[in-house]
Amino acid sequence: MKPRRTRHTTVTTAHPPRTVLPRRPAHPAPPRRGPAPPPPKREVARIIDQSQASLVDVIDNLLNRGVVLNADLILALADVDLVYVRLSALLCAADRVSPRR
Amino acid sequence: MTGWYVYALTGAAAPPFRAGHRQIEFVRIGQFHAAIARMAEAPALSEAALQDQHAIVSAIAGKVDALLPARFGAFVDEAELAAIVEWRAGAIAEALALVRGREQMTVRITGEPESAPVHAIDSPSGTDYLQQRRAAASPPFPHVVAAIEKAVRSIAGATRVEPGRDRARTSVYHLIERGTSDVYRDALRSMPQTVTASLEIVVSGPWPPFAFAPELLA
Repeated sequence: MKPRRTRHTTVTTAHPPRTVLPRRPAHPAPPRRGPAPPPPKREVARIIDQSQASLVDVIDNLLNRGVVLNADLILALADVDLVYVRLSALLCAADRVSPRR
Repeated sequence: MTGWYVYALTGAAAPPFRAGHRQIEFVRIGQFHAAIARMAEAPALSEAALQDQHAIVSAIAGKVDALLPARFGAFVDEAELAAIVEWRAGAIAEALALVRGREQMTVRITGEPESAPVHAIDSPSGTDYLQQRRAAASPPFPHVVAAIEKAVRSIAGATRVEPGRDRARTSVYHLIERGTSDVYRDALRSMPQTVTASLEIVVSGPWPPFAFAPELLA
């Protein structure tokens, strides 16, 4: 199944845009005199900022999180249905075993 | 037959609006509201459909101050939704109060776990079994998670930590006041670099509070 693109799909998923956050010094450096010092070694930042939703975020938010109300989840790959989950059946069962108020 | 595709449960209604090719309206369900679109059938699962729904839920979050996003595939009829909401009204009200005026930030930690993996023992004793279960349930990056918690303690209103299945990653979700994501990012930058060495920490957000929606089926 070929994913359908729409106008408001704004996120590219192959390589989501990332911005490396520069580390901020704890105190501003004092003014220096004399010849300019050699440039400091480049610090490898380990904290990466994603300002837009990556596919990981979208999948995690919509398939792993969120309120489950009733869902027929068909996970399909190349037009082959891999998993079919009928959650409403679980809802009915839970409703019957939970105490009525 | 037309049904309701539910994007979120909300604490209040907002005027209907158009998001992409969907007309979003707010319908009253008991003491709550639901942001829905009327459809003949639920959208098929695809990357585009997920991106669409993510964008629509984000747009809904801009209209109301408290929402609980629905998981993908919430195609219901009115009676079904009313029954679910009535059944778990207490949990929904509590969750809406938690997320009111807040948004979610997500931190994903990826790298070599701090502790060695726990290997299954053949025929374990009861103690061995419980220790395995405890190790498997604990986050693989306890010091990093603790450092993150310390860094954002004054900003985060609530926290959820979800260890990954392969113990090479952990996700940390925080609820923060709306409009304070820059403060949150600044706080994470202040973490000692020794904590983040050899790990990749990816910060994303702000998002609607997906990770703080109640488990209505639990």
